[in-house]
Amino acid sequence: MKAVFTAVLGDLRRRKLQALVIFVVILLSSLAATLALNLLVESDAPYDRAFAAVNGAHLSLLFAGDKVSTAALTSTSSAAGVVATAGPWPVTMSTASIPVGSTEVLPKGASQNGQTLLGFPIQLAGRTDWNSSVDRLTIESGHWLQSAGDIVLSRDMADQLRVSVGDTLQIDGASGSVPMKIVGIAASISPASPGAWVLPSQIGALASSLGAIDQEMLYRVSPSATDQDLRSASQAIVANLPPDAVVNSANYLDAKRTADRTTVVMIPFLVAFSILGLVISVLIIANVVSGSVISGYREIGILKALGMTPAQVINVMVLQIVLTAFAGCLFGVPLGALASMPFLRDTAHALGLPAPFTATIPLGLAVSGAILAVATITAIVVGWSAAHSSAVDALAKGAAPSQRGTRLSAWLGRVPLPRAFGLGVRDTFASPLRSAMTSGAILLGVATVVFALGLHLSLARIFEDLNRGNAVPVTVNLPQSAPPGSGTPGQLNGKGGPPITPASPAQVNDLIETIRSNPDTARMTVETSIDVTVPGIAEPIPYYAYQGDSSWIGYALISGRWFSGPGEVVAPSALMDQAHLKIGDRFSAVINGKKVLLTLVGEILDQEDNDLLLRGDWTAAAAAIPDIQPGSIEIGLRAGVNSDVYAAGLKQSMPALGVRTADRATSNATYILFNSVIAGLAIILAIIAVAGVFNTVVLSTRERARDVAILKAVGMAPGQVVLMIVGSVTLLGVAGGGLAIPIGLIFHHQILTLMGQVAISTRIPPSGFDVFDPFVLLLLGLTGIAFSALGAFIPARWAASGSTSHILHAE
Amino acid sequence: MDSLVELDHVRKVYDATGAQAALDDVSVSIAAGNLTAVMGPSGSGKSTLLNLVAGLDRPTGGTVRVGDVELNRLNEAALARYRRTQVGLIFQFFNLLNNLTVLENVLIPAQLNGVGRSEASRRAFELLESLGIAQQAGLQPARLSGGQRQRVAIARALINRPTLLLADEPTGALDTQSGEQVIDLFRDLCQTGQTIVLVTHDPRLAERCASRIVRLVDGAVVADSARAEVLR
Repeated sequence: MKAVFTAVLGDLRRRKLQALVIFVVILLSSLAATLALNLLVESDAPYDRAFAAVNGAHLSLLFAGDKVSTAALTSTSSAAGVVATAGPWPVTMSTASIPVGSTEVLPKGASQNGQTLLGFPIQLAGRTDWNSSVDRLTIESGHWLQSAGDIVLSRDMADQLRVSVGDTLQIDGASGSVPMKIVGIAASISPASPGAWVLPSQIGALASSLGAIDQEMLYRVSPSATDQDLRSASQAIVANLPPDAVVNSANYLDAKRTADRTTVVMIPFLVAFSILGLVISVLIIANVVSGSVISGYREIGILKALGMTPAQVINVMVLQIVLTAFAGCLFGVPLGALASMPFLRDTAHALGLPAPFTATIPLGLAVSGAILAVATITAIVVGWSAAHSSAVDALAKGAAPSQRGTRLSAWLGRVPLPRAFGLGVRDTFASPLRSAMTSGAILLGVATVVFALGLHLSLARIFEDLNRGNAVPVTVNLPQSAPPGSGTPGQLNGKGGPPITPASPAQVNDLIETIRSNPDTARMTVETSIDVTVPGIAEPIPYYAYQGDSSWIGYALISGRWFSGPGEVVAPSALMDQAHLKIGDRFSAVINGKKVLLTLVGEILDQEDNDLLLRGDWTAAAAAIPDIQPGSIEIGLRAGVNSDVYAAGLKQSMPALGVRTADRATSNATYILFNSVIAGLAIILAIIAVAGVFNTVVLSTRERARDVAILKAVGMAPGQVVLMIVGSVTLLGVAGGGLAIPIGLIFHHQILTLMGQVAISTRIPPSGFDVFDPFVLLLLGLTGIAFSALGAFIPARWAASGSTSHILHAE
Repeated sequence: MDSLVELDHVRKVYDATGAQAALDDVSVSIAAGNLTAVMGPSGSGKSTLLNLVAGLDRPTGGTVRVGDVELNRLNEAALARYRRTQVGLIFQFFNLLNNLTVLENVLIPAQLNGVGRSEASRRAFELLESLGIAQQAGLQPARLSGGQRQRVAIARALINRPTLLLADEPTGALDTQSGEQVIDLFRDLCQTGQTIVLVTHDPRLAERCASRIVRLVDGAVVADSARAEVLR
């Protein structure tokens, strides 16, 4: 065994460059595999795991402080189904002001006044302990409250205000502004968590003049799997309390559904990237290992001549590879785990979860084991024949220059190209297996780039479509004749808009006409939402009725057309699938107890209301509900009109209106997350593909050192040497790049379809797939040449600058 | 007679310590139109001297001048240009490219020099014809005998009409008969006025072709005499 180790160490010392190449390739491969698998593992129900880890609350109830005593609230912990509680904690609404200089952008909902930003609404909770039995907070930066004057912000609030630990917030209390120092940023997984935490003793001073001090209780209940379970638990909790004690309630299932939706969208492309990464890794590892073993044939002959058995020879080869590969994994796996942390943090951010920190030891061991297995098997397979051949054969095989005189290379030699480049091109297939593996790595690398770019462009278009392409820059929530007891002051409109106040139908009509006559209004459509029962759907779903032309409001059509006549409707894919409807179907629906005949004319991309809704003409709704009231107005603006200015103008002239402007799709955290994951993985896989070319060229130039020396001796200049060596892989780049385009497009189409269907229950509009300009595809095809040139350049420079005289005089 | 090659106090060491010099303070001047043989035992520095004149290696000290060009001052690209325009190189082990045909091997220096394919081919066929291997133009070097391969190497060395032909043990890997043929070729070349520097162990080659013989031992010139003196 000592002889084996001596041979192994001797070989590693002598072939440092080759060992370095194997090390780098294994490092990159293990990094990519760890990163992809880590994301994949972490994407498996992250909400559930985070929720379990911090003992999140299933129910969050806010009780009116003047209606119920602390003792009564404490006694709810013994209600049926309740297994743990936290609270009661005093909670109040206030407003925060921060210096203008501490923000980059004016936070939404705030107004600017001189040097400060005023009136940013913030919900404050008084809490002494972050580490409570229910809803353990995750301190992401800074520390927990230590004294009066300290404030810990929720991460969302810190993001919105664009402040960080150390900044000071002015909280506008009833008796004046109170400076509060931000000492920490924390995350809570529980529903309806507050914007900031302060010590309970400070709540009174920080409450605004209008803000009541309520009491928050958090509950863990059992069972808790369904909405019905949570409703039952809520009823049991409030059974012995006054009827109007509950101000607000929230449950974890809504947050979980939102998080799961984002997570499940990621899984198809993470799986795709993982597969691509693993296949590229396997190809390159097999390539680098087989090249290393083949180039060691001469040494194998010498070892056999010295008396080593075939088993010992194989041991030498395998140990050389495994030692180097192990070193690569030793660095690659931790680096992969580290590289995955920003992505995991972004994922957590997008899902509204506490930042994860996961030990990936089992995963790292699995990645290392798989890589070492691939390397070992390749070394054994490639080295088997050499180990079992005679010493003379192995020596001859290792020493003999390859003939390389194939018919294909002769044909390539006749292609009219600059001589140096042409000499390289004709050497493309000198080692067919290696060429195939290199081309395969380039192919997968370019396919990854095509796939990633396609996904990025498609997601941008789909997010834009979901945002309706900013076709509706301003939406106005109209005042309603709200039924008594249906809301409280400050209640949000059903679509998440600003507060609304009651008004008569005549007043509403006046408001509509005022908006219509505004010179900056280009077009508008009045909308309202009513319940409709559709065959095949258990619960009533919203029917959005539109008055006037609504074809411009920006819902992307997947198939069919936008409605244009009475009784015509459009619907999202999920509704069509669940109700077994297809374009052109006529079906009976029930609105307000009356049967209405509807015709489905279009399938739209629409993610509101759990993808179960209809959008159609006003007439059908008005036929069933004669006194139907307008709910909102979608407004298109004339070119050049700023939506914020327009909205501010409306709000100023008509304070009763709830006015909101469209969000920009690119600021969406989920969209940013997807893009960062896609870009990160694509870059790493592209680097691995380039490393594969690098490895091939290093091996080839070592084997061709004599040929290169001869050419230099007869006058080939260094630049021509570089050109020749780059030329030897250019054809592989062309082939890999060319084939990669259709493969990348297929991946893109299939994964996007899967993301839509499996994850968000929708088909994708044709525009979501048709994202590549032919010129861009041509450029992407050339990426293969870029990969090959990048990978070949450094070893080509080495070959161009290497010594020649000693090679030429050796036989 | 004007000298074409001038080595002035040339020193070449390979090891970092500089203790063992491959060439030590060598000064040699070689006239144009002659065949100069460089002889000496193994390790005497013959090939090193040839590499320096070919621009394949650089001296540690001193200067190497060929014609008006001081090789020390040239960068790698200029040295490559020098090799393909001024020098023809012939090696003991031929150093042909096995993946190319005989014709393609001969054509390469011309093509690297920017000569058009048709003109280069015409010149290559002329050379192959004159060297008696035109029939083998389409074959790969592995199919040729040692003597034929060396003639291919000579054709390749001559394709760009070099000022200086450098040959390192051109008969060293050949059987007697092939060696004789190569010796005749060198004699013919010499008669055309081609300047040749020849490194050889082969006294036959030196005696029959060289007008001057330089003897090296341990990196130093120990004798430098005209052939007539040597023969005497």
